[in-house]
Amino acid sequence: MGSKTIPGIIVTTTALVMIAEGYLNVDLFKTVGSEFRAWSIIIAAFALGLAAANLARFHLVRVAKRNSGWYHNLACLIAMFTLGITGIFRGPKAPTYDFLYTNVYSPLSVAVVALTIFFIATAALRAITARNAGATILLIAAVIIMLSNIPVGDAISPMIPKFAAWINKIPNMAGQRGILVTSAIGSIAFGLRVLLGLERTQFGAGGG
Amino acid sequence: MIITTKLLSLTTLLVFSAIIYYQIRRQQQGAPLPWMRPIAGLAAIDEAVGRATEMGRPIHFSPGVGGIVDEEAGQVLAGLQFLSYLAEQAGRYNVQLIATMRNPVVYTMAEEIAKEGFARAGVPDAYTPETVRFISDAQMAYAAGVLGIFKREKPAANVMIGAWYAETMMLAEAASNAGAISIGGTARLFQIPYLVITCDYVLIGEEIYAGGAYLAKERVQLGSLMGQDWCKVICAVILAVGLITVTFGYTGFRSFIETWGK
Amino acid sequence: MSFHDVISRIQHMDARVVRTIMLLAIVIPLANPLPVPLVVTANPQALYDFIEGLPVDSVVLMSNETSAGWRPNLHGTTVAVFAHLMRRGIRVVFNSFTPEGTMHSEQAINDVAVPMGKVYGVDYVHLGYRAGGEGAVAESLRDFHATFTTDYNGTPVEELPLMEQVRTGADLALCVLTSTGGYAGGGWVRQLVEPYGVPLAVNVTGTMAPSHYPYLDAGQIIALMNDTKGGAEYETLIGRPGLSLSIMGAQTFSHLLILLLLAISNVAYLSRKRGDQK
Repeated sequence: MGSKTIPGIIVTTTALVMIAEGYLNVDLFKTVGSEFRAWSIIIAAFALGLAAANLARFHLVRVAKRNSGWYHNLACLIAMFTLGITGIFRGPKAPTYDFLYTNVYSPLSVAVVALTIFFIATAALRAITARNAGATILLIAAVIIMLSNIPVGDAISPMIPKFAAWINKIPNMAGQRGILVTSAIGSIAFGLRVLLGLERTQFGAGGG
Repeated sequence: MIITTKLLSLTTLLVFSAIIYYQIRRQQQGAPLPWMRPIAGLAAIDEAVGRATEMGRPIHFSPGVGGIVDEEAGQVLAGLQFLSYLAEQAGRYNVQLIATMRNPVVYTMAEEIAKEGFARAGVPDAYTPETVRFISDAQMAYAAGVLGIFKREKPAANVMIGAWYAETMMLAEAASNAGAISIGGTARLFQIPYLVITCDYVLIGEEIYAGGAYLAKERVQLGSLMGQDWCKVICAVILAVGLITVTFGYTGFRSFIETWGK
Repeated sequence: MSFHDVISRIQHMDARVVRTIMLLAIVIPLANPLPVPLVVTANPQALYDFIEGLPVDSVVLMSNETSAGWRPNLHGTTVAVFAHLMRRGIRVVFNSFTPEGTMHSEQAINDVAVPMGKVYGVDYVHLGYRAGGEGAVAESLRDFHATFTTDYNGTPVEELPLMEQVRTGADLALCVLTSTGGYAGGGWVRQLVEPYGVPLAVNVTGTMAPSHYPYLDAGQIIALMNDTKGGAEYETLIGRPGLSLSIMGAQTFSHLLILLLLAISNVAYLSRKRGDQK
């Protein structure tokens, strides 16, 4: 038996039970399905711990080997262990953890998200031009939606929020519905390949 | 025994699964490879490798920030097929490949895929621990880490195909600022506009699945795509019939679909 | 110097200059808040009216599936909706399926419930975080007590008076989901709305809002709160200015600057194209 056979059997069995639970009114499947979902919660929690361990190992190795930029790795480890140890031993409601989260972690996260606006500014000056029909439609829609997201849009004309609502409700929704249908079909195909043991990528197999 | 309110859903699942399975089997038995319309983004992959070779700068790759246990699993896996191809090409042309990962499970998969890619090119030793890098599990920390890589290592090409969230814009624009050509792709509709305006080439929606399968010449994937196309045709026909009948005042077809199994 | 030369120079100015101007467009309004007249749109009004119509003995679930970086976008809405519910005397259960969502819930509790003197365990409960994504959502709605055996403070859920009446998703009158990604509204439609018939309101970022319109149109979501503007409108409705309204000035000026940059870019492009044609 290959190393990928047992995981494949587990995946197929679990998937069949969950599908049966969804469509068949049989108590056994409901009980087993519920148990599997509870196990998935536990596994997900362990995966978080695994992620933390992976991260620590990765950065520790780089610090130990003094790879280029190793001090960035050291800063990451210090931040990770400080917040992690504080949260684990003092609890998330402790003033220290709250201070670190509210005054250090949260503003840093917000700052990185906020970088997007600066990249949008340079992209607006460089890249968003009406060079063909599609780009022109994109540009007009972007302008209307942006104006509708600020009070100035309402002040300029009551037609702007109405037109923005139309864009969201008609062309946007048509596209979204198409994507919903195709992604649902894609999910069926993916699930079928996994069930039949034809999808091996998640076990590390790739290429032709 | 069958939950009657889900009869329509079950019927759809069974019919679509049968169609997809039939097409997969056809491909596995050697049916001709399906015709695929030319996708500029796919041809650009080789252009990106060539550019990196000439400039002596690395290629950056990322399958996005999704995982393999959520809705975006298909997109991440499609992206990893591009990694497989890129690793082989990077090994063949002696180009440095930097693959950054956000999800720890995807990271372990990517390591294996990249190693196999280099092995297929005949240079297994070209894979180093620096090839596939796990940056962070936090979305914006990952984005910040990749921005740093762009700044320091100045890749010649940036291939970002997979499940992308809010960091799309900043990564693609930062790659452009670093002088890289960008090939982006995702099936997440609301990130596609960001890729369109910042990337040189874009694979939109289903093109990432098709492209990944075509590069890998993976018959199962190609058969699956053909099956999915037939399912979409069925959906389109049902939509069209429903639209026409309702437009002309006949609601019987719509009622039938709505109440089937209820 | 021709018009084309001027525009071209502006278009190709150093990126650092552009970013500095953007920084000023954000920082100055934040430091000097401007009053921004807002027109309340349909979605915040729909949520407001729905909450106004809820019986006082209802229980509402507020699920915060957020990350720290999106606090300015979504937290204002969470606080405003929670304040409205607390004012009406409607009881609230918080939970989260992302690790950082719990901190958002705690911040909302500290901002609203604590100053109002609400009693923990009676008026509101914070169940905390469970890993597992949509599977954990499904399991928690099947049996809250089995999934959240203790609350965020470590107290057994059985000891909380409010939780005696909340066992499954069917016991909820409304769910207000704040989400920054993943399955978002679609997942909760599958796990809550379809099986239990519980109304769902969704509070998401601007980029995620368009993908929820199919659910809104189908009636599976009763209200779609769009990023900061949705929050600002809700704060206006309940007469409680907060984070979202304070950001609207900066949002206004930054958007106007982007529109100006778009105009410059396109004028330069058209000018160049006309020059090439000549």
